[in-house]
Amino acid sequence: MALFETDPMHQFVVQPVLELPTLFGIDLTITNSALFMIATTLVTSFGLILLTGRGAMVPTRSQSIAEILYGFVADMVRSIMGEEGRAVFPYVFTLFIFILVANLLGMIPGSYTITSQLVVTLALGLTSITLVLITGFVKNGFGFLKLFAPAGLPPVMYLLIVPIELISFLSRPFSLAIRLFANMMAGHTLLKLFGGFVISLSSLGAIGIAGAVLPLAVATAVTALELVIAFLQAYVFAVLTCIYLNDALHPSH
Amino acid sequence: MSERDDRPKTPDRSEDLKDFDRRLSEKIARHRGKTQPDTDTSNAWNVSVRYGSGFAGGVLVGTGLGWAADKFFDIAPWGMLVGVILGFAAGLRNIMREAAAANAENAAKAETTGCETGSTPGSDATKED
Repeated sequence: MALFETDPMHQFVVQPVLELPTLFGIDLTITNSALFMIATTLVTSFGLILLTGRGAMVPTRSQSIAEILYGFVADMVRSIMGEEGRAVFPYVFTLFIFILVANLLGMIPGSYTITSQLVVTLALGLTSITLVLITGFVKNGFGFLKLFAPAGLPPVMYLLIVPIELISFLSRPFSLAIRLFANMMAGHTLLKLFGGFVISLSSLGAIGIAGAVLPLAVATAVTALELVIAFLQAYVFAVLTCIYLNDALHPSH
Repeated sequence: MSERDDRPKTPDRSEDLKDFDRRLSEKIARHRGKTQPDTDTSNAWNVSVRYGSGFAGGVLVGTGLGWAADKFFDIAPWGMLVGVILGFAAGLRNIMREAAAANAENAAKAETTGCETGSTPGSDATKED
């Protein structure tokens, strides 16, 4: 019983929150995961609308939050892709904000971290790589395929190199997804683990409560670290998407 | 609001905007300077996830493609055998690419940190005018 309460993996279980009927073969039941995806979307859209709604020339404090976020991503896109990055900026910004807000919402105690689900991060990664493929073929046509065949090799080597490069390219969404998912899942497991130590130790009486101070301190420190990681992983995801998009625009590497 | 009351003339506004733009980009640059060094290479956990995910991704996709080839072309063990091996190679290729990127990042970081400390005091002085 006590083991169940402090089970660090229990937080990742997907549970139905609101039972809805099946329509056209699609189960409409809202799970905690779906609920937090909806919450993330709502917080992101309404948050940004509220923050920038007034559109003052001299930004208020709340408006400058939105402007700094915008400038931060715009600068990042420009530094990686140059002016061509303008075209994909909306996507990169959306991706960054969505992951950031999802990660931060997950930091609220008792909430659900959707980015700790491989399925969610993989969906984001596959969306990115689809955009990369579309960008590559639209901008470069079949010249895009040069990405898989580095120049200046003996012809026989291409038999080996092209499949390897192809698999390496196709593995990008997976590595993006695994990176985000592993970071979020590991962090939240760690958090829950130390929280569990505090609970089980303090149930041992006075000595236990004195001993529980240590894991409590660690849990506090990990919480701070998790906030940094929440931001960092959103940034890393956006940066890597930009790098892949840049590869697609200039496939002569 | 107070700034609009102080300067009603139009030519000053564009100067103002330019100045604002400059200060904002400086601020963002400083902000980025603060956040970027932590991004990837500094932390052992981040490095391990970076390389680990790259390698795992390669093996997963290679194996998956091999399995799919087996399924569709009916070449029972060979697709997956070749797929796994190519997947490992692709995983290693990913790690090599990550390592090259990390090296380039480190070199760039060493350069920019030297430049930025030099430029910030000067820009602060101009802001006072």
